Amino acid sequence: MELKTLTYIVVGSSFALYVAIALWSRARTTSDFYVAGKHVHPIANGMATAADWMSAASFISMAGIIAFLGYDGSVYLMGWTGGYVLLALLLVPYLRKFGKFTVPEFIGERYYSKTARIVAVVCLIFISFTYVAGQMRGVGIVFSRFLEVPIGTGLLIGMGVVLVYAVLGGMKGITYTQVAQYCVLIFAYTVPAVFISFALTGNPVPQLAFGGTLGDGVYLLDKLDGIITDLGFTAYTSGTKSTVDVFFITAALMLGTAGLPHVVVRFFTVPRVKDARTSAGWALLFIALLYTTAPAVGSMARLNLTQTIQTGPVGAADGNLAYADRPQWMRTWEATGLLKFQDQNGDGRIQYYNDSGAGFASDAGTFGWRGNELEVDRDIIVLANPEIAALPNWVIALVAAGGIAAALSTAAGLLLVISAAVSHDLLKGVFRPDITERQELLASRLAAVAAICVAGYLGYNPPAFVAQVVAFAFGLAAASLFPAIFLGIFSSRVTKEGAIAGMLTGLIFTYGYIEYFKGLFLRFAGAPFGENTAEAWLFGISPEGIGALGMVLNVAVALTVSRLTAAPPAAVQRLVASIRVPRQAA
Amino acid sequence: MVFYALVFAAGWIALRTFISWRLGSGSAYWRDNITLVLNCLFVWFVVSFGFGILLVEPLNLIRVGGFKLGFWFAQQGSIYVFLVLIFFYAWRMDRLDRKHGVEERDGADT
Repeated sequence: MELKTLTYIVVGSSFALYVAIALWSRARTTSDFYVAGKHVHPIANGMATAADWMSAASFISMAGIIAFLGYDGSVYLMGWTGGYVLLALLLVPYLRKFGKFTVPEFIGERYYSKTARIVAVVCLIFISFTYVAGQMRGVGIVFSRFLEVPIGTGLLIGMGVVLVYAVLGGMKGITYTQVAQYCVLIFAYTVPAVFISFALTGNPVPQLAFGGTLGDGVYLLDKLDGIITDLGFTAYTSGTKSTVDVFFITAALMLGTAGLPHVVVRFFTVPRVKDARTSAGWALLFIALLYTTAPAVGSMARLNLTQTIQTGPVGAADGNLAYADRPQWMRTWEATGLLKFQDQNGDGRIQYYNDSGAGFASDAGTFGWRGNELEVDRDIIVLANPEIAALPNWVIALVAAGGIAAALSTAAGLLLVISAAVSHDLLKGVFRPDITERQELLASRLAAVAAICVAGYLGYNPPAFVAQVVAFAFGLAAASLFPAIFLGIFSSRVTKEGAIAGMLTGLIFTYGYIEYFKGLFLRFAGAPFGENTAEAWLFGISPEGIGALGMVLNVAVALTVSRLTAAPPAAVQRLVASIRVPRQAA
Repeated sequence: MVFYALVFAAGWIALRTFISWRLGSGSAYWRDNITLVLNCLFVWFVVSFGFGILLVEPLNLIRVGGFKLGFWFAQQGSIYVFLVLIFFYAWRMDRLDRKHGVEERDGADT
């Protein structure tokens, strides 16, 4: 069957499945809408968390990022999984015991302050919108590539589907669709990986093939290190980032993961405290299936790509692939603009090498090479994988459905925390405490509709800050929400003044640093103001890693200010004591 | 490498001593919980920030099959250890809950 027809069928039936689940699991109460009635089995919640967590970026971009960064890509692998240890050990069991609906609600009650709750809502909204705009963009890109519809139309279809199941089903609908979406995305991710591993190393398990040998008996990673260093690139298994920077980026991503509201709130949906602990383990298991496969895929794709182009010895006149002989998948992806060839030296062959390093660039000159001629977008690594491995069309269609599932599941989770923050925290919690449950449920549905429209607009017309998801969303979560929740549980002495001062310090410091080096909202005023280089950075920490330092500042300020202000009231002390135990001893 | 290990060990002992001093008068359940959390976080820190980042170069001199060990910890091993850690923590906390009589009863929803 023709690829396009097949893709329509696969993507269409996955949509039908999501909508059917939504109709079956409609939300009837605010508890259903915000936390799925707290009836979700820990394994189902783990699966839903994994889908919620793994975004379009994890599915489409991560393997490609690692393929081109090598060891430096480890920051994402460790950072985005290590955060679950912090979640399981430090946050979710206690928040589950607290037993309410949202993260700002916990902060508001623990710090006995509506101001603290509003600060938390502001952080949550910034984090979630930055993140969701990227997801909507991902939906649009997948649609335009695989179904050949304009990005805007793709976005509208995606918004429509999310609208149906997020607005009807709330958290309950989202949970069960995310379970289905996880199954779709993990299957779509693993099938091509297994085929490629088997073809290269004879071992079908990507995690083992990664350390396996190729047909000629050489280890895959040794071969890869060899051929890319011959072309002037840094060896795959070593990095170019400084140790300090790798340390701080990893820390910021871990702390940020543990502070992302859409992840934290998933653990409010399980029945018991003990379920919250195991559920975090299940979530990491389901995430690890993809996260341990991704680096294997990345290394194999980098090897495949380099060997396809460098067909003979480096520097030999006929050592490079002739442009006219390029394989079909390169032609396909050239049409999308994600792959670009420019014949700098006019020899009709493709030279792909590192032309920015001082050492190899001069050697390359003596071969008659006039600069790198191939630009490869990192997203190709996953999207074109099935074509590079010459897999059947149904696998390609599946990858399209998987990419859309990853984007939609994350978008829905984010939209839900935004709508809950508006209807539950702002409306019911602060401005109109007298509304009934029916009115609140209606308000949360309307807020979800409004949030989807804003997200769609941001996805179609992405503002500059959307490209800084990693620095901005994770940095803010690490520097503002994580420490506020953590201190609220582990210290009964932290006061509202301390918490608010800490959150604002973390927020302003982290935001200011990213604005200064990367430019976010002040682009019209000339941001970025500083040159984004290691010499200019504070202690050599890049904007991606600054959230970890922001967290330290937050904790320091919160503890100091708390010492100087009156201790929290007795009721709050009792609240802290009660969330620390699953059930009060008789 | 020895330097890092010594600094880290000294910091770790100082932290443990400080925390056990602070918790000396608190509930036994909470003290046991904190000890377990700290032990787990110790492992969490060592496999990722230790083996995967600070000690990656010396460990890369050791090879296991096709992997340099430091690289393997950074891209595979730390994730497996995280996974085991969470389930270990959940299992030990279940036992702690029962030991101190604070476990949830079936069907309890608070």
